[in-house]
Amino acid sequence: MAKFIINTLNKKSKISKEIYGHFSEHLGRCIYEGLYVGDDSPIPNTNGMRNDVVEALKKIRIPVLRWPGGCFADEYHWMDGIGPKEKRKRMINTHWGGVVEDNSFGTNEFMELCRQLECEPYVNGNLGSGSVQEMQDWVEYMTFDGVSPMAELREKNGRKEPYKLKYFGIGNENWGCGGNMRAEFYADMYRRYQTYVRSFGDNKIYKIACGPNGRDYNWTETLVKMAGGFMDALTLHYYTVTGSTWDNKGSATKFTEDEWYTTLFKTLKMDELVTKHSAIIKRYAPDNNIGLIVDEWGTWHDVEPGTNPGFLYQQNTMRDALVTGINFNIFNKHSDTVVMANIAQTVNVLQAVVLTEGEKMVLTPTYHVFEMYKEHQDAQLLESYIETELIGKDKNTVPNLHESVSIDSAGKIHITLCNLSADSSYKIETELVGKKAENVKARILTGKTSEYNTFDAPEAVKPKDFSNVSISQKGLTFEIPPVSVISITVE
Amino acid sequence: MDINCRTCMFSKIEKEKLQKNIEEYIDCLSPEEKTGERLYKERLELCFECSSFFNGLCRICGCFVFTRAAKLRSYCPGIPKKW
Repeated sequence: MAKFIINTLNKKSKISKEIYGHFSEHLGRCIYEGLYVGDDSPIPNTNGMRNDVVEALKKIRIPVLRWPGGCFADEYHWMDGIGPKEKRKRMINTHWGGVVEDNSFGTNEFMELCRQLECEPYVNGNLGSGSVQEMQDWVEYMTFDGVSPMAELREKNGRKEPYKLKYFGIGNENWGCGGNMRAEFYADMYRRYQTYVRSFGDNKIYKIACGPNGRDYNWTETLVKMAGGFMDALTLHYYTVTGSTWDNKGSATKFTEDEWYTTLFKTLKMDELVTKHSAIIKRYAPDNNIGLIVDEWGTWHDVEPGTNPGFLYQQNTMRDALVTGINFNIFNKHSDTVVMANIAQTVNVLQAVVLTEGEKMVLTPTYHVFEMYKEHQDAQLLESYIETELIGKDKNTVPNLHESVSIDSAGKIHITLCNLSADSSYKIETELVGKKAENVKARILTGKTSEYNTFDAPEAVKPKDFSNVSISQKGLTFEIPPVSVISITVE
Repeated sequence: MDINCRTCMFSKIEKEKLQKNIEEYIDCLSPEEKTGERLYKERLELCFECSSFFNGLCRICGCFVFTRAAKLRSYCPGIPKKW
């Protein structure tokens, strides 16, 4: 019997709803086909946006959407994507199987998508190959309320009112595809570019600097030391890759039990990364005025056989569901510094929540975890601890259980718990300190480790009611099956 | 595994290797899974005439048409379906 202690008297940081955010890039079929089909498509749409995908994302309360990249951001010139669509620049990338970029999805379309999703837009600017003026003009185009050349251009393109834009990223992966810069050079470039990213009227821009790749602590320290006073947050990118090389990342759907534990072991590294980067940030910003945004995270498997390797289209199993649950628990527990996270990516690319094929759409196991965890959004983290044992093999051992708990403004307690074991169930004795449980509702997502949803069998993996939770004198008792994610609401 | 970005990864993919992978994938299909020669050719001809076809790829599903058409139970992802 594992003891699970929840101290309802110790309320900790607020879990920013943006932790449950998304990322959509002009890559593969994420934007085109996945989110945007154009208003003349036979696929049901509103102003070109797929109705089925918009509806699905609203159900998980998508709080924020990052766009246009990723690597694409530092090659994107926003002026190519405004004005009459027939006059927009068309580019065909013949390099990898004919990726057509006709710029039919640009700034106005992205803002329209966010309006339909009722989420905050997060625009990532081009520092790598764009000019300071280009970035300055883009912010002015989107947000300036008054008479200016960019506001006039916006009006000419059919939008008089300025858009509301809070989150603006100043470069992406500038240690790599965004210019191969050294930390010192980027820090100076950041200071220069951000000067011209202005807040107009009542629109306050939240400035986001490009942070490190994985364990590059030197990048974080240099950046915060040299430019910390000019930013609201910095980013962190970390992908869970099962294989040991990029040429052999491993199949998304066919994997051994060893690979199951390797994936979970590697995803748990997120805790160490967030802890250490947060410690560096806090050393230079002790008042917690610089946030950490994990704006690219998730699994990166080999692409589905027979698909374009440049499109990064991969399936998504219960293994990905566990990765999602574990990362959300980590972000929740670090919500004093982690202010946003964006899964890579929303549709059809990497660890997608939604897959599409023509008019068909399927929700992945990852989607269902987003849905089950949504009650944590803007709730307050509670102190919690669960007794664990190490499972797995050799060096890839992981704790058998992984949890986080929050309390919402109505006083409801939300518990999310993952069982990482591929074959064992565990009895849990939960003690609720400072609260008497009167009513409990629970749901479970479980299945075989490699089970997934397809266009032919879209509901093979989906949450079900979990009625095995009993109210005891001290709290709750239940048994969690192997390979499962549970969400419990206590009143 | 240190510095990685998608742009760098794409530039490392060799066209010949990719072609070999597609051929190997089709060869690995069992006789029950595989489309007959005649039907395979009919499907590909329809793909080649389609506006969503480019450089061997279907833009609607992201598949190489050679692999998609090679699977008997497969279908055209377009609206209307061409095969």
